Amino acid sequence: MKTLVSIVSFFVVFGAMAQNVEFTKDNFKDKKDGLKAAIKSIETGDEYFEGMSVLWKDAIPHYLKANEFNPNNAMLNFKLGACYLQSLERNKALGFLEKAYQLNPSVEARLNYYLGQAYHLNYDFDDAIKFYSKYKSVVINNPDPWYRDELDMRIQQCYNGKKIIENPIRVFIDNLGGSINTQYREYGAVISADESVIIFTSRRVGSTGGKIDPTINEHFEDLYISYKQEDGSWSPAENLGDNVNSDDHDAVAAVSADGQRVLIFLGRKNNAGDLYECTLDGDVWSKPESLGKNVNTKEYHESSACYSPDGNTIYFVTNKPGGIGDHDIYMTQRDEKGKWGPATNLGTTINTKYDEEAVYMHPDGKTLYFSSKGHTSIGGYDIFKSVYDEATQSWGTPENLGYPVNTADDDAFFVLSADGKRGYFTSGQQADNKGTLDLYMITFLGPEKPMVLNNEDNLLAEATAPIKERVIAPVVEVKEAQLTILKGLITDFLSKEPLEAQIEIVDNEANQTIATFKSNSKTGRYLVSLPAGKNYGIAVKKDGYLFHSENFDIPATAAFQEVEKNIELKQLAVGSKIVLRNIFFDLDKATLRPESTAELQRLIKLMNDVPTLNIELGGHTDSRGSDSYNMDLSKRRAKAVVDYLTKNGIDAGRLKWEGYGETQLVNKCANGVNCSDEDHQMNRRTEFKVLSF
Amino acid sequence: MQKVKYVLFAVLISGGFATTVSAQEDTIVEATILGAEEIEADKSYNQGIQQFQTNDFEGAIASFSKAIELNAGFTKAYLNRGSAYMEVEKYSEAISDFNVALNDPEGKEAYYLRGKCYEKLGSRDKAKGDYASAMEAKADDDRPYYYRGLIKFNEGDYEGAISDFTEAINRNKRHAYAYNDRGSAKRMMEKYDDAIKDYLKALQIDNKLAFVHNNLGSAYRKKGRFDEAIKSYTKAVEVDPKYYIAYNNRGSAHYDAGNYDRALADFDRAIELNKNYAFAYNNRASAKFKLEDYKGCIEDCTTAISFDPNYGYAYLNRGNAKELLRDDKGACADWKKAAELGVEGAKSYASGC
Repeated sequence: MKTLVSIVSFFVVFGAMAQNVEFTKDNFKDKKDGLKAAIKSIETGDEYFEGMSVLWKDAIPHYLKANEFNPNNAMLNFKLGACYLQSLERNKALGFLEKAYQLNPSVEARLNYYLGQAYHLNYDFDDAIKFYSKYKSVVINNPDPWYRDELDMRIQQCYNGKKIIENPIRVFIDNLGGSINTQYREYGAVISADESVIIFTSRRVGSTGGKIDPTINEHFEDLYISYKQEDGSWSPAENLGDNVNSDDHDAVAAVSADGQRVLIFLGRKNNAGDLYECTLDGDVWSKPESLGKNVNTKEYHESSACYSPDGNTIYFVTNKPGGIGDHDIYMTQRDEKGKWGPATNLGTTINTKYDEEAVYMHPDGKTLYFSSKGHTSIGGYDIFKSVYDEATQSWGTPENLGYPVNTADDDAFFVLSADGKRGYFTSGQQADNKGTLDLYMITFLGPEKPMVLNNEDNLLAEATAPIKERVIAPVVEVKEAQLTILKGLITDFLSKEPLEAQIEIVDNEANQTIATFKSNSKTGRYLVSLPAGKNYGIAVKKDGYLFHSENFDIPATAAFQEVEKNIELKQLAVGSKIVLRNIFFDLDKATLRPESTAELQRLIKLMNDVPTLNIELGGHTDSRGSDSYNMDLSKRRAKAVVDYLTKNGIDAGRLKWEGYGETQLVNKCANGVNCSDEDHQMNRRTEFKVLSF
Repeated sequence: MQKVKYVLFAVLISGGFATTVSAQEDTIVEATILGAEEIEADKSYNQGIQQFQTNDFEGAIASFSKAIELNAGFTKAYLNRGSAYMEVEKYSEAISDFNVALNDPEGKEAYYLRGKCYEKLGSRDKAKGDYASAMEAKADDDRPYYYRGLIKFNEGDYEGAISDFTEAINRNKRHAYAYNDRGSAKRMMEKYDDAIKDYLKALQIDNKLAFVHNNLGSAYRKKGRFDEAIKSYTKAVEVDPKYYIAYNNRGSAHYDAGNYDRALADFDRAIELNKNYAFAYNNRASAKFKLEDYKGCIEDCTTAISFDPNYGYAYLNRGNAKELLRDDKGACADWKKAAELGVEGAKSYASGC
């Protein structure tokens, strides 16, 4: 009986602890041909394995053949695990590495490091820390600080992961579908502020030039574009064309809020990669133009960039010397000549001693999204956000976007819709992945919405009716993006043809032009995003046309809104009128307020540009107050504008003025009609009419 | 002058405590001085008492009325007719009779009874005034304190209620109801530990009071002591197996403790016992939500709403389930409806639509 127990025990132990089997003739006396072929496969695999790690994935099929012949070789299992870690099937690494460890824990010192990585990718943070720490004890005396930094970073990421994964955020993650994603790699999506246009990078068949990148055996990168269709789906992606795409690497970095400009990354020979800008003229993209020497360097890698909403600042990533870590985020502003000025590092709140990448500024103009291996990353690059505080002129502490958006692997290229409800990012780790890397949309559901239960008790003995008890759930602030998206078409008043017009955005209180845009020459479409908290004057101008004036007063507390405003520009003609929406008076007075300056200056410019132009300024009030009072007030206000113009050098002979009081209301809000303040505001206006030119 | 000895008849006890009223019986000791009408009056009066005791309240009212007709000064007949009127919920008529009864110095019991009538008619201040008079008339009577405590409780004056319940307890140390109700007043003031002590004391006096076990469970639940809450609710349903409120509450305790399967089973049982119980449908919907059965959750919320079309929380919860089934329009419509019905949290959800 004892003997039987011993035999059983032996097999149990033997089964659990397989022995390392070397590829030697002694071990495979009867399988010489198989042995020879397996050794040959290993040698072929080794050719890749001994090269750059990006090519290790190509060793996998060869090693697998040898492993089929002899699955119990520690070194081969180690190599297979290491190669899988460098591939997009990283989840397959752990099985081989565990086997290698089981067969011979000291087959290679790096086995601990790779096992740490494999456990880390499988969210087994405790085992990952154990093996990273083991490897750290091996390399502790290595003079190259990289080892310690790398291991410290990874161990810290595991500790971060243990915390962050406990509180997953609520999201839906959807593949963007077959119009966008292919079996090849798609990544780096950027969107216009209204999510109507998506531009992304792909290494698909049919890339410009049709060549294969020899360094990783994949097609060169090209830029592709797709448009949101009426049914909500994306149109089939189109190559952005020869002007933008070359037979080398062309990758998208950013798109302006209105979709009219893109920043792209071009990898060219003899250059680590630079940033360029292309603009859309009708439906043709211009040739890329370098962002200049203040942004680009010859030796270093300028990899990612984004615009501020006004288009006057670019945030970008470079690994040029003098930074805080390797790749850091910088900013540059457009100078008066339109050139990009000296770059400034965003500082230690944003940049760490590790890598930062994939920068994106939300259309609210203050929330920066970026990827980093530092901060509280749970593995590889994680996506963070930081909010700029105008009051303190500083960036807030970067906040991890949370699991499952951030995973133990790389998570990058995140962009967010203007209303903050949807994000777009790149992943190879999602269940319905169509290829090696795909583009995904995240729908943020916000904090958990607690269910509310209702209970009751018979609190009073005497009472037969139960006394109701109610439990009230706490409020989730839905944080909403506080900005307004203004978009629409600009057309000719008579012909209805689309116009390419200049759109000037003015901060009326500061009397400063914040930004100028152009509508698309082919479609007449325009889009501007206006962060809350300002009174905006918007002037739409085109030579030969009267300018069009709009006013948007967006209080700081305003919620996200999208306003569609189609604008018809009137050609300069006798009798044509425009409403000056950005002329403001003190309450019940004819005193011009300082916020009117920009509009008045525009008027002066028009008068100077067209010296033969004679006009009438007409004052209008709303119906509140007596008719005679309003008539008098409107006259005085029209005269105040005329006085301003004459004081600023316009010949009084060219100017007439008239007060119309409440005689020409533009809506139903006559005497006695109950109207909102906004409706009355429509009637309070200054108009000018062309008398001759 | 007639010489009549009045004997106070036993106080009728209902539900363990005095909720009904006293009737009084005459014992005729010197019939010689009585006239024929007075004799008839006394007979009718006694017949009325017998009818009262056999729950023939209309018959009792007729008999006491006849007695009064025959003897207009028969204040005890007024008192007893008033009590009979109370039984048939004719409180105004009862009050008129008690007003007459109070003309008799020995009819001060009518203060307490009239107080109860005023309470039933919603005249709380008058009721409290009568209870105060009853306290003056009979200092060791716990009842006016107890009932004035109930009024104060229902007015939200929990401190005043606690004071009156304490006075009731001081006059009746085994007043389980007063302990329970004082515990409930403390619970309303969120003094859960003190409430638990009172509930335990009530159960020490009478451990067959299912509602006290239930109330104790809810106090434990408020404290987050879910195991003790579940034990108390379990005792409540052992005492009263049809006590659906306690099943609903035990389900919530399981829910709060994160045991959604057990919660579901209890809500099922509550619904079995009361098929129209909207709260249990709403709560079962919540358990199904946690178990990721969003369709089931929606069905239960819809049933709850069918019982109570103004059930804002059921709309809120249904919206939450629709959101996770990606029915954004449906979710928004439900949250908006919940917001319209005054559910605060729903406003912020709807604002994100």
